[in-house]
Amino acid sequence: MSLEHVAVAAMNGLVVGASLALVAAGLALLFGVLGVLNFAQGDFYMLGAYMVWLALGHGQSFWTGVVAAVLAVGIVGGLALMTMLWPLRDRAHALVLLATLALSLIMEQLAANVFGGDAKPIAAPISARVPIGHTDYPVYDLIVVVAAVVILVGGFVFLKYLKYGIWLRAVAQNRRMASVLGVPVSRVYALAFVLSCGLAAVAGSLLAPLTQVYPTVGLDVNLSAFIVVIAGGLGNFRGAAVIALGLGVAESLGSLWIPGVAVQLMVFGLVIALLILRSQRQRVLVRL
Amino acid sequence: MDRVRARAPDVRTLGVVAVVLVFAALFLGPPLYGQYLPQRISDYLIFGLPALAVALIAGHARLLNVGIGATFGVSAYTVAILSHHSVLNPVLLMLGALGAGVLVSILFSIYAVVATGLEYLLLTLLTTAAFASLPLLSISLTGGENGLGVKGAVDISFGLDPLQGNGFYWLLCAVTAFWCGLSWYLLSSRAGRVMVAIGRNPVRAAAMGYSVHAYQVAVTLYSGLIAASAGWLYALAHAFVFQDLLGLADSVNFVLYSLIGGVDTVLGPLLGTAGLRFLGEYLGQQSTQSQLYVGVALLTVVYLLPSGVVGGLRQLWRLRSRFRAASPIGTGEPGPVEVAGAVEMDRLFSAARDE
Amino acid sequence: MLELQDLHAYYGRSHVVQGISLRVGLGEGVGLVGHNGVGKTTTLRSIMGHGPRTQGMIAFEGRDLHSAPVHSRARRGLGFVPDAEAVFPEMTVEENIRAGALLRPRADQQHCLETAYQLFPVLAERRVQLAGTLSGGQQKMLALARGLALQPRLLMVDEPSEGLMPINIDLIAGALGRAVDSGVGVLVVDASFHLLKTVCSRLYVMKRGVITGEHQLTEFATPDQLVATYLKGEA
Repeated sequence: MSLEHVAVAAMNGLVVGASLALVAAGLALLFGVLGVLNFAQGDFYMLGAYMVWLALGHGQSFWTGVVAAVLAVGIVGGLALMTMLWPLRDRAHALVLLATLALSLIMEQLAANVFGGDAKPIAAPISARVPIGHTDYPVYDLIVVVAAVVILVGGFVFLKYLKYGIWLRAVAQNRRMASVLGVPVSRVYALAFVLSCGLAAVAGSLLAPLTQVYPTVGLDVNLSAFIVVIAGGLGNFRGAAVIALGLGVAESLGSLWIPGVAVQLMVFGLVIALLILRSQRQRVLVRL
Repeated sequence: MDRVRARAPDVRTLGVVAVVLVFAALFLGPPLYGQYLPQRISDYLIFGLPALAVALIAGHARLLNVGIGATFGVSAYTVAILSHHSVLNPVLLMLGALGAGVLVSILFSIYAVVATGLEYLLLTLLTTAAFASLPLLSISLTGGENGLGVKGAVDISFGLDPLQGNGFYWLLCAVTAFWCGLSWYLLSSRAGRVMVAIGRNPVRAAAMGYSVHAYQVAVTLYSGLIAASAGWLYALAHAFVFQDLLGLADSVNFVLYSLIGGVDTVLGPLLGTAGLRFLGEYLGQQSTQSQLYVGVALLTVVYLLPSGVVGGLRQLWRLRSRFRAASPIGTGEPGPVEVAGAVEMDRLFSAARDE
Repeated sequence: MLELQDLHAYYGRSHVVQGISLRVGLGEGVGLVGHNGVGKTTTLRSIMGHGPRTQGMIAFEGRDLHSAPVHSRARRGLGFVPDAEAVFPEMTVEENIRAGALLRPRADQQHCLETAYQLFPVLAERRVQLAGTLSGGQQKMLALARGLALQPRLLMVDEPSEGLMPINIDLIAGALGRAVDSGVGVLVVDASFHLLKTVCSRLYVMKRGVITGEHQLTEFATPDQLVATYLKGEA
């Protein structure tokens, strides 16, 4: 196993981890602010990918498609999701989870009906390659990683220093006190939905050239994102992003030596153990 | 265990009579009607039993376990795997399936002891998702993605042929009647009422001296046994097992069947299963759209269905309040009960001082 | 400035506040006393706008608050410091204060911070500490400092002295008293005689959801005299 193999595997892991980080961060954000576990997060990812395909089909550039994905899926999807979940806001977690699960099933079926169930290939906007050792590594993949990192760092800065970001955290930590201090809570809620869906959409659109576009393209990343968010502590934006990147790399490197299935199961096992350990020690703290 | 005489004797007798009639119809009707009706009802019963298991553990005991499907699938796989290793004795196969189901249930019991509420749900969810990949670990043993046939023909099912005659069907009815009867008995017994009380308010039940974990483990194992017996019967009936039996999809279906049928009852889940599966068959060629219908059905249940869902999951809300109360996030406003309680206590207090 | 007329408040079917009327003027300190559970906190929450379903008039500076959402009541100058869970636990002390001040321009935010630190120097010492790790008393002081620093027109405070050491009760009472002197209206629910005497000129006694009396603080020379009013009801 040469260093080159490892480096390439690590890079692949970073690419996977980067998109996972975006999806998981969105999931964590929504849970942190609203206590909503969005089982359809993977399907907003899927819609992002389809937006790119639509844009290309209408003669637009790839990057236009990405922007369209973020805006359309983020805003329309986010607000639609909020409207759908609004009647359930005071009810059990499980109901919200079931509702978003139902939404996921419906979205996948509708996507298959409208677009067809076939996998549509998307050409990467940049086909240049860069040599890593003897391998030529696609530049686009690197761009994906950089873009994801930039978005996530931007997200972190936003949450920490900008007015609406601080308000998001305030609502997540103490909704009542936030409103008493003049924070427009429902506007913050809407923002959380939009950002969460937008993050999933940008991930889906960026990864489209690598995964192709089909109705269930979001399933794997959805489950992994749940694992990441659970492992990082529900509602932990920063933790979710970091763990996702680490997980992507770890799985990729791990499968160099161990068959993929075993790695996945090990990850499941680790997270379950982690959850049990944490359950014993403390409540799951919400932190953005 | 003393029985509850909750209603006037004649109403209760009426209820018992009605149930007896239903089961009589179940035993006798389809075979008389013929035309593959026994086979179709068999399908409803096999899938209805895990739905009942879900209703018991999630509805009555308020433990949101989405892993009943895993128990079901593991038991079915156990029958298949054992049959490939020359175990063809029907009793041994049954015990093997039940034993495997118990093992899986022990895992879920551990979760019940170490976690509550949302974390418990997530643990069961993750585990069930993990189970779906398990067959890939040893393809020679499990057949991997291709699934595994069950060997042994009718010998493994006590000589009853699932495809011919009514013998197998009556076996199914007997098993169903057994679990329904036992469940009714247990639910109306003291142990059953304790279980429901624990489900509603574990803290209060513990304060009253009940061992909450013991009861939770018991109900997990019990519902696991029900699901395991269904898995055993599935393997016998279909002679083939595959990966999807283990994963989340079936688990979600079981939850859906029991939600629609009514989580708070014993017959409800069975009726829900029959109804939904019948609907699926009736919409026949729309099987390609089945996911859409499941989604819509689920949404209907979530938004519109009355106390079955709301009542059964209200405890999760209370658990969440407790979960949040411990963390430094603002809790919801005091509910009417708490406020009224405070006012009430103050009345008592003032009355004493006003002497 | 704040006027309640025949206010009723319900939690579900529980009729907690059963028709109360009170008023608080500019630069006036008013107390609300009574047993636990009579509806004092519910009254404050009704004024702020979250929690109970209300009937009756709540007017602030001449305008009916009736359907205004909580955050717009806050922006009109109504402040509220709850008795517990008033901080953002995963933010530092400084971030907590700033979170409240975000509606104002930068310079004002800085001013708010300084005001808060002047009020309670212990907060300045712990400005980068996570608010959730502060002691209960310190959290109350943080919440109060933030509430005052935001310069509301009327500040409602729920049980500020509860669980605090006497020396800190002094600090809080002093801070609230100075606020009243500078023209802020203060409506405070509390049981500490010293605090009430320092801050308030008038108080209402509440019993079982209704107001049973209105008194001047000058009527009471000792704590027992005050307690007597809400133990026995009206003489």
